[in-house]
Amino acid sequence: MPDWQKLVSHRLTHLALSERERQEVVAELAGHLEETFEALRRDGLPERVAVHRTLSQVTNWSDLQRKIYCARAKENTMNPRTSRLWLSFVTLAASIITLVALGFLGLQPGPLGSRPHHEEWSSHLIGGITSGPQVVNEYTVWLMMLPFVGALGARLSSRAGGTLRDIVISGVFPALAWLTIVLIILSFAASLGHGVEKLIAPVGPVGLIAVLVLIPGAGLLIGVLAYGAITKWRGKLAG
Amino acid sequence: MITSSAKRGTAELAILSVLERAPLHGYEIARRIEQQTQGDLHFTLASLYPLLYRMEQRGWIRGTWELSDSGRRRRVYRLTPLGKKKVSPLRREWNELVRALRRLTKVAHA
Repeated sequence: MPDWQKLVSHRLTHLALSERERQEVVAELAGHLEETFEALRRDGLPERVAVHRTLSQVTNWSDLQRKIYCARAKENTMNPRTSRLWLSFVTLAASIITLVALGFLGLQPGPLGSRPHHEEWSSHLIGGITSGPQVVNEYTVWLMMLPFVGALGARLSSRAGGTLRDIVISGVFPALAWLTIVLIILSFAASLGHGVEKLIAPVGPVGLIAVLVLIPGAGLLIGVLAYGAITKWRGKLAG
Repeated sequence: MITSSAKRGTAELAILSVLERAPLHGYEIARRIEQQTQGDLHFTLASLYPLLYRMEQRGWIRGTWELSDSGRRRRVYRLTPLGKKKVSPLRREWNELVRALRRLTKVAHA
């Protein structure tokens, strides 16, 4: 017979209730599965078939997790779609605020000690990568902070009862937003004027996508994965 | 007037109706409903518990952990005074819905 408690606890790892509440839900659902299994066995079903029939009570654990969260969490008054959209923008705002805050803290968008001209922003922003390991600039520090932003997005989405897909999207949403912006800039580079082509020139279109989308996206994704690993580890400890 | 909640309320009414007779735990609620409706209404774990938790959040039912005769810990649900008040209006709405559907199907067959 499977360890129903362990099974349910594993499936509801991301149920963002307090640990006590989560354990209560796990115990209750595990008890239900156990009684279902025992009844099927009493009816004469072989163990393997009984386990299969018992597990068919839940076809989508993520969906059940979300529904339980929405039903139990008092503070969750937004509907799930609004909540997911809103949280994605919270992550985007957090990433932008981080970038701006680093500038205010004295880190310049270029090699230390130099203040670039406004129109040379893109080349200086990526200076930390292209100018050698001794250079610590706003971009580099910002990249190092992005995993925390990604983890924040994942955490908020998880607390709002988001599915695995929602959690990942919420965590990496800033990269998706920047991709849209970069694609718009690239599409209209020539017609936008104001030296937009000059801004792109140092890295080229592919470099711009790498610097503003792929590398930050990877940083955000690391945060999402780290959050997932931590909650899974915490769930194992509790289970 | 049948409100949009009437259809949703059917499942809630089924739960309130079985709890009106006696306090029960989740598995037993599902079993009784299935038994008393001769299998027409069937609750799986996935459909039952979100509903129970929502009804508990609304204050219609209250769950408490109790030890069964077999020594098993179970969360037993019972109706609250608010839940008892809810049974009659839900039953009335559901009856209206059934009557309306009967009228509709008679028209369709005529």
